[in-house]
Amino acid sequence: MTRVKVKKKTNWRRFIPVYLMMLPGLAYFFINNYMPLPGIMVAFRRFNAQLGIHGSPWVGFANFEFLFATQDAWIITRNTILYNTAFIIVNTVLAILVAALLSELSGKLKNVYQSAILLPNLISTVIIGYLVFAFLSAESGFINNTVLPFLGISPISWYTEPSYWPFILILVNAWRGVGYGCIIYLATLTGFDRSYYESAMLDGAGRGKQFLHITLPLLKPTIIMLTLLSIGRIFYADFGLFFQVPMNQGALFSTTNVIDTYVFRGLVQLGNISMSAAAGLYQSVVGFILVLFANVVVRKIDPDSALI
Amino acid sequence: MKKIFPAVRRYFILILLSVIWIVPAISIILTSMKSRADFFSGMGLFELPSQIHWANFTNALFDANLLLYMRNSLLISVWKVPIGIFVAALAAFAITRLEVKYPRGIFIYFLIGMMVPFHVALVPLNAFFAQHGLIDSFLGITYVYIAFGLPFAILVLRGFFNSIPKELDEAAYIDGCSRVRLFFSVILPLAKPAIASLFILDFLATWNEYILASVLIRDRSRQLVTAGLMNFIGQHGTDFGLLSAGVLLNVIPIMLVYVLLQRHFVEGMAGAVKG
Amino acid sequence: MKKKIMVLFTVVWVSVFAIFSLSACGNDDGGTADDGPDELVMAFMTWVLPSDTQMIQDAMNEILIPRYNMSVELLIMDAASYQQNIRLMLTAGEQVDIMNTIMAGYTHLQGQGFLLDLEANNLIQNFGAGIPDAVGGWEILNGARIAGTLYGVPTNCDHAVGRGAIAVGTQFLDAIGFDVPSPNNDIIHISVAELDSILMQINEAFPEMETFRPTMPGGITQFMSIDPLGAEPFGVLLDPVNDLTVSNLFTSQAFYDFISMMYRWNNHGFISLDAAADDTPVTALVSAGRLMSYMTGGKPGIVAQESGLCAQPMTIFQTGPDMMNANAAARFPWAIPFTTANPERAMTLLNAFYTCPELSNLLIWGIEGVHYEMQTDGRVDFPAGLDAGTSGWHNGMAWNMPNQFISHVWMGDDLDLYDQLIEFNANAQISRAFGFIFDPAPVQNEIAAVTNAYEELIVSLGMGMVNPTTGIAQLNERLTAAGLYRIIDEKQSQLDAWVIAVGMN
Repeated sequence: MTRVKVKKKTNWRRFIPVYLMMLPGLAYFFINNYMPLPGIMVAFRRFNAQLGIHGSPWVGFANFEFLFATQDAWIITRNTILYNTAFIIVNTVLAILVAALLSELSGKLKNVYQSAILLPNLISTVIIGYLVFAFLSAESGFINNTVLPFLGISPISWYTEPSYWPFILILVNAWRGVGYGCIIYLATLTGFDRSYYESAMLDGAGRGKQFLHITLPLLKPTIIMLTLLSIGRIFYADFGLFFQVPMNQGALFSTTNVIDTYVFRGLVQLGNISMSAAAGLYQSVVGFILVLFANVVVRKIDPDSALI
Repeated sequence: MKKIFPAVRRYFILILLSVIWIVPAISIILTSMKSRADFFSGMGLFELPSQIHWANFTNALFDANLLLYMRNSLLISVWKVPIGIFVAALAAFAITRLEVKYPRGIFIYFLIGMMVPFHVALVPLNAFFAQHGLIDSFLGITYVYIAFGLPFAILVLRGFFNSIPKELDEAAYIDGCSRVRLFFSVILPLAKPAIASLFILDFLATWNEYILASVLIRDRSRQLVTAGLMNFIGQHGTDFGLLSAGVLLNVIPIMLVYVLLQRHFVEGMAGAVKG
Repeated sequence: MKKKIMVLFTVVWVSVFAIFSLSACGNDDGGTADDGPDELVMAFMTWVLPSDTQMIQDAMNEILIPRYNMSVELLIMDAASYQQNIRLMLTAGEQVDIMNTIMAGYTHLQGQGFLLDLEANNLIQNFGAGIPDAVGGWEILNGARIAGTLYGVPTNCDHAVGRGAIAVGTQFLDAIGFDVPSPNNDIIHISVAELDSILMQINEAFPEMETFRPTMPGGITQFMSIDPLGAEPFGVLLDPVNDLTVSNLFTSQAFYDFISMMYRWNNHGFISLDAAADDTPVTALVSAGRLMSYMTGGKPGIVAQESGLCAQPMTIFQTGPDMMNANAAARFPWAIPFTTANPERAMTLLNAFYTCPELSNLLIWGIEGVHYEMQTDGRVDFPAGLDAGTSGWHNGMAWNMPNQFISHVWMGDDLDLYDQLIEFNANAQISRAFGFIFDPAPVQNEIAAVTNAYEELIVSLGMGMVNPTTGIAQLNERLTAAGLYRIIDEKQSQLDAWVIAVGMN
């Protein structure tokens, strides 16, 4: 009995250096991410600059009401969730497919493709908005002037028809976002043991079967990790994508207004710090709960892949 | 026939993808060659102007100070990415291979921190920076970037470290290796593929970061590339030729980093995400 | 082995600390000397950041230091970032002594406690005595009061707006045989029917050109003879000169007529299909030869201004009266934020800019000989070789500066432009609610919802792309569901209370 106690004591002291090694990271993180948290309080108060965040009067959940009060508020929530879900699915599928294709190439061609896929991620949404406008402009756009006549369809007024925009935005977002996921999947793919594939080929499995039964299962952990991370951001929308690309056109709001753009538009006149903080808090709390929930689900199905 | 068909199908898909990816890129390149007059003449997207307006590129670099902004971004990224990955590696090493109490708890601490809403942290961070004279300070913003980048890096490295067999550690200890030596001479080199991928992703994210860059750095001469590009959008409409040229120039450093590091993560990140 | 570990993490730790403390020291400006002149910060925005800020600042300090024992630091931000950055700076407690409230919102800044009461301790009476006269008297100054307290001082510029104004390229009028007076320096007042006919004629004469492009949604409040009682027309005075009833603009006959007119014009092909999505400035389109006319606001000097922007002679027609809205004097006043180092010194500085011509000229036009030169007729112009793009100080923000009336007149404007502006303001129809500033706090949720619904529908409606009857009905339905009438009721009760407080009969 006594021996065990002595052991514990020695262990503890031996690991001080270990904890200290972690300390820079812990400290950085605490100061940067946790200390500002009391600032969240501004979402529950009616902000007055001279009283400061903690001196301002408490108003409870009043600042959150505008996010739920009207029919529009539910539309934006619906839009945000639907778009992000579509983004996750489409981008993941495309990234995996492209990564699989690229992994079979070799040499210079592969490098060129890899760099090309990454390129759109670096282009600001303002330019993308302009590019899309150059394609979809009613009078001078490429589609209306060249493509549609070629196909024998009459011109479409793209910027006044909300129904096309879910597809347009999903396409544009995929164009931008696939590169990022592709890097990770490709890096993972190239690390797989080639012997799996060789034995599969010997057994007569075609490319498709190899993909479905070897590549995908091996990729599962990566896919789950990235998907869980994306779920955490499911209530956040890329402001640039939803504001710039539809050129801030009111006619398209029913399918392009998301939480971030709604908050921006509603508050730009009011300039209300508390309300925008409330919106941000709402988005992150929901995302957090969803991640925990998703993680629990994953843990039940496949404990190894769970994030936490 | 059986052999040719899959190859044809593969190349077909590749070509289709290339079209989707490269066509917009080409239109941006063409746009960067046009002057403002070309835009107003209602030129089509894929038409080449009669005179290539190279001035767009020189204007972007020098008059609009893009070169300066790129230098600033480079300065920050060059410090941020290696230090960030190093600190994350330290933490990941401690969590996975050293017997700390509650390794999962610490990991969750980092993960939760990632959920902190950006805009809520923005105002207090800004206040903190202002009160300590850190606005416009490169060190200040580097610090913030490192902190925000830690969770993802720790996530990836932790996974990767977990996949390195613990027997390796024991063998090293038996040979008289200290923990420090183990970290630097054994684990880190083995983690090269993960680190290389992280390097690229991290560099990309830092280069692309807009909100913090626009809020924490106000001095025009110290601005970063993302905020600097926004300055191209003026009152009298946007000069898209100039903006496109700026965007193309902006892409070059990242491509360079990518090309340089490619060979390192050929070995793959397979282990990074397991358990 | 232990020692090595200790050494290692000590190194890591120390470097982390070093980074911290070094960065904290990095931006220390050495502190203010106790016995030197007071250092004040003046914040405002320009469209494009100038390069000669330091030069102007030094020239200003040459006047300020001996005369007032204070120096100024010009904190200039560009339009896009001003709103965000000034708020962040103030929230962080950074010193700003005087600032212009454009973009950031005068009412919102005040509502969240950022601004100081300018009459506290007789601040403006003692240290800003020159201001009331400079802006045209207390009647105008009172227009900036929020709930009776003065938080800002209006700039000297056009407070009224000539309603129903359209700018048309003169060359097109010549082509259809319209008798353009010469010299064409004044606004031409015509009826709506005449305007209609003119646009029809130029449209027929030049079918390949875009005839007209309305400004939406801003064009609604600019074109119509109403008082929106704020920035957005949610609850307006339909007859501002006579009636203090707050009404729903969108159920009014005037609105129906306006939308019907746009609908008619759009059906005739006046308006481009891209008008809503394209954000190229109308003046750029005109100077590129693609557009013939657009909406604008009437005021003295508008002809010269638009002709300059379009690089061709323009004719300005006006179909409505000159009107001044309730918040005319409170659109972008100068104010003293609560982070000022010393309110009395801040007010002194502000007073200096309102009363001292040399300071005003430096602020608006720059340094004589460097950024402008006196011409023989008393006006000023660029020195040889310099233009708007190359000058290190040409901000085009004279209207946003404290007092342009005591500065030079730029080439192209009438010499007596400032007298014309004073007369313009004095002779315009003034809303009975002038000086009433709506406090949005009680209905913020409704405003957020109504704004979103409004922006969704108004542009297509305003550009004449939707049938007026069905479109207006839909607009009203959506706005009502979003809470428009709660806003209207709140505005009415605030207006009624204000009328009593001000003692109107």
